[in-house]
Amino acid sequence: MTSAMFDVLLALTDGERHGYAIMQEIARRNCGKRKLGPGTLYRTVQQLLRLGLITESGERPDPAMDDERRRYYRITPAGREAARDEARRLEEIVQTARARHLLDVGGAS
Amino acid sequence: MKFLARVTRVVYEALIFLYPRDFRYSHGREMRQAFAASLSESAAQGVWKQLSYLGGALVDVASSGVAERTDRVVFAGVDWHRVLPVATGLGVLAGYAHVRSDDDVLLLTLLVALPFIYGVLRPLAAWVPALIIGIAVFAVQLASQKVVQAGMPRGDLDHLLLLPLLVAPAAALVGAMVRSAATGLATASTGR
Repeated sequence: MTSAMFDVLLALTDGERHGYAIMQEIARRNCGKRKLGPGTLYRTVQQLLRLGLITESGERPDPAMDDERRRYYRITPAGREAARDEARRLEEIVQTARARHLLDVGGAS
Repeated sequence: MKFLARVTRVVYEALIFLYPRDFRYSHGREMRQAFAASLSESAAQGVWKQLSYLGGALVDVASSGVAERTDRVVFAGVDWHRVLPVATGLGVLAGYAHVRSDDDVLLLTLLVALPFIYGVLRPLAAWVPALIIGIAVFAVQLASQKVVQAGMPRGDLDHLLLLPLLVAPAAALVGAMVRSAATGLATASTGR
């Protein structure tokens, strides 16, 4: 799983979002240090749709406030499982890095 | 700056055409909207932020567009579980037949016919199994130590051995073109 895929899945774990909202959520979560461009974002969305890890949602959370042609995406159970597996894998990597004193206990490098 | 932003929007629009048609149909409009919204956001943060966003967005859309299209063309419909063993097997058989018979015409016929047929049947990704066939033939020829038997000095490779690597994908490409032309003719005649 690429880091962009993981980012998108994480952005969808707490609810449905449209593409631009996913971009904003990723930038917000990474304090603006990591941003996905529209090209990378929608290509990743397409790959996740193909893999069945996310699905297009028929409903819009707030139709009155939104462009009705906007597509919303929702994480599938398989997507949640894949994100969980990836999070565990990353956790193991961080634990290894910590054990080798690459990270302080507090998390600062 | 407004002029530059306008020009970039036009370039961005053009670069979206790098994506396959169905992708553009599904996501093109939202990509444009996201680009415009992010551009406005970056403009509010100053000229340098905007310039940096413009450059990044153009590289992003171009690189991912090419990557998406390449993925579709290169790997579309390749059933690796079937293609890899079958193409390798055919390549090994062709190479072995040549080693046994020393019949160059037979090898050339196999190298052209097999990938050509595949190209007609599966035009999008035909060069993949064709290349596998070429590599298998090359490997068998090399393994048969023909080079050593021919009295060539060690390390001096007969460059003709590399020919299957070119001939097989080229034949697949021709097969794909024939299929494409036939489909075009059929569509044109139906349209009439």
